[in-house]
Amino acid sequence: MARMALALAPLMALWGLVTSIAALRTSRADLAATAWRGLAAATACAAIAVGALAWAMVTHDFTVGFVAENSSWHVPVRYAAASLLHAPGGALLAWAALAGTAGLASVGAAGSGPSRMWVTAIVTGALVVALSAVAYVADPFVPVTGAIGDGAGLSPDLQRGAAVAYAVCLLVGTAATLPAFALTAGALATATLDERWSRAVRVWNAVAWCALFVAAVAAARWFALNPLRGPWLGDPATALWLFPVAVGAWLVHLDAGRSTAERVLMRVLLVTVMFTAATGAVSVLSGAFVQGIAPHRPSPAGVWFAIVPAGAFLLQALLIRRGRRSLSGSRAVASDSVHAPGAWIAHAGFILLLGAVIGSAFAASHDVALADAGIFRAKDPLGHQWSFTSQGVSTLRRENFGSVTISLLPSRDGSRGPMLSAEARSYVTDDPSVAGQEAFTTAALGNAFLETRFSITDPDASPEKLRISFVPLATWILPGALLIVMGTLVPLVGRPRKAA
Amino acid sequence: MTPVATIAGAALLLAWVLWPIVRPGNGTGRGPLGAALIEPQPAPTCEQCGPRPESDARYCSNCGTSTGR
Repeated sequence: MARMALALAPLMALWGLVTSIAALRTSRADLAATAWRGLAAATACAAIAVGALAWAMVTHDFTVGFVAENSSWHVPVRYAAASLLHAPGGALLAWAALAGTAGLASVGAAGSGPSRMWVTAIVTGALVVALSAVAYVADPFVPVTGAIGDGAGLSPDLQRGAAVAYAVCLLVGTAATLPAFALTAGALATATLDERWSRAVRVWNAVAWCALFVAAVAAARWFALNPLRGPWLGDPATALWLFPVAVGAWLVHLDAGRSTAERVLMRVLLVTVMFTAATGAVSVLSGAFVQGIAPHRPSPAGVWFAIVPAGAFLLQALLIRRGRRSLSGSRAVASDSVHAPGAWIAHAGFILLLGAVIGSAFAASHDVALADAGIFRAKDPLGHQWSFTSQGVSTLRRENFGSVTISLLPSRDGSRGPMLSAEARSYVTDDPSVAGQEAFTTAALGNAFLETRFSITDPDASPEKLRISFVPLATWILPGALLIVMGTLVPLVGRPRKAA
Repeated sequence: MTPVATIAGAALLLAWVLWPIVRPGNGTGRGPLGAALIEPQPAPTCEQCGPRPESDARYCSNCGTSTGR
């Protein structure tokens, strides 16, 4: 059934695209109705296919090619989302299902008439590209021939909660940029850039930006607690996502004030750039949302998906070139007054984040080697005296890895804290002669002003080498991000407006 | 799910998608192929500026006043 759904999905989307364009040219109501049904059918087929793929992942059905390549018996079910979203066959399929659902919701917000047809055409156009890439270039349902006892597994680097949160938030954020773009292009094409468009697109922008912003915070945490990954912004593939986040921040937080044609044009441009930057980043990542430390395998699906941002950019450029008429409705967009409670909450969150960034500049790290019961003493940047007493080395065996674990008993100014345990993991494979991939975890102990981190840097040395770090204000990141998201979403409920 | 049920489901989906253009009586309208046209709405009118060109505008594109929609 899943293969049939995947085969039908791009054809349904293509039908929706062709008939919506035909409906625009002929004004035929039957073509408009069948175009909408084509979009709904394509979305349903994509949802069925991605549901079947997720089920195959959860049940470890290694007769499915995608599951055999991206999972194994040793990958816990809670990391299935990371397996699904780190290769184009699953990532683009999930994107198509989610973006199609969001697109269906936005078609209703586009009202009736030509702008509704434009939105249908743009959403189905994007789905045609994504679903064709999955069906014809990166088919996840290719059957595996021969006996397969286990899959290839998932990079240990991705078997972390923060990596899963990062991938899922990028998926949601990128999918939510499609309705914003489709509504904007539709309103531009039909000269209805009015208050109704403004309200609808504001909601989608806020949802998309919040998801992308949370993804950036999750990525920062993922990198901070993963000694192998290095600095967060040192990875170009991850840093690339900062661009749509920055553009979205402008769109969501700075685009307020008196309504003018220039401001409306700026909002049109920002919506376009946010959509093209987000989908462009997916394309650069070979059609995936997350990748492990190992260089990503280049995939033609990523090149194929580049049609979406390129097409969106060209379409918007053509529509804007049509001149003043496209922006003739801009005076009907109400001026935005700043939503005071939302702004205060967001500003408070921003200050916390800024504090965390400044605090990280004063971080101090110590590389030490501690024998059993050895003690290391150090002063943190805030002037407190710490001592760490080694509790020795132990070995652990879990479902997907074996590990060497070192525990330290910390004490600050003579007051004992909870035990800190860091692991050097070796992920298991079915073949005992093959060494498993290594990964390291970081133990963290935080209070209001300081986070103390501890990780193993060399488990083979004797005694093992450790790194103890003090990072001031690192614990402000999560509450800061939460406040910014709250400050972004609160104004959407009963935003006060005044006429232009 | 058996292949027969899968094919039947796909056929039902196709029929649902195509129904608006193949349903009986679709060719009795006024369009190029006899199909019904999307009904144009009466032009919105601004009290100050008169009829506006945008068919579904709620606000006047010239002065920003509500068109009463």
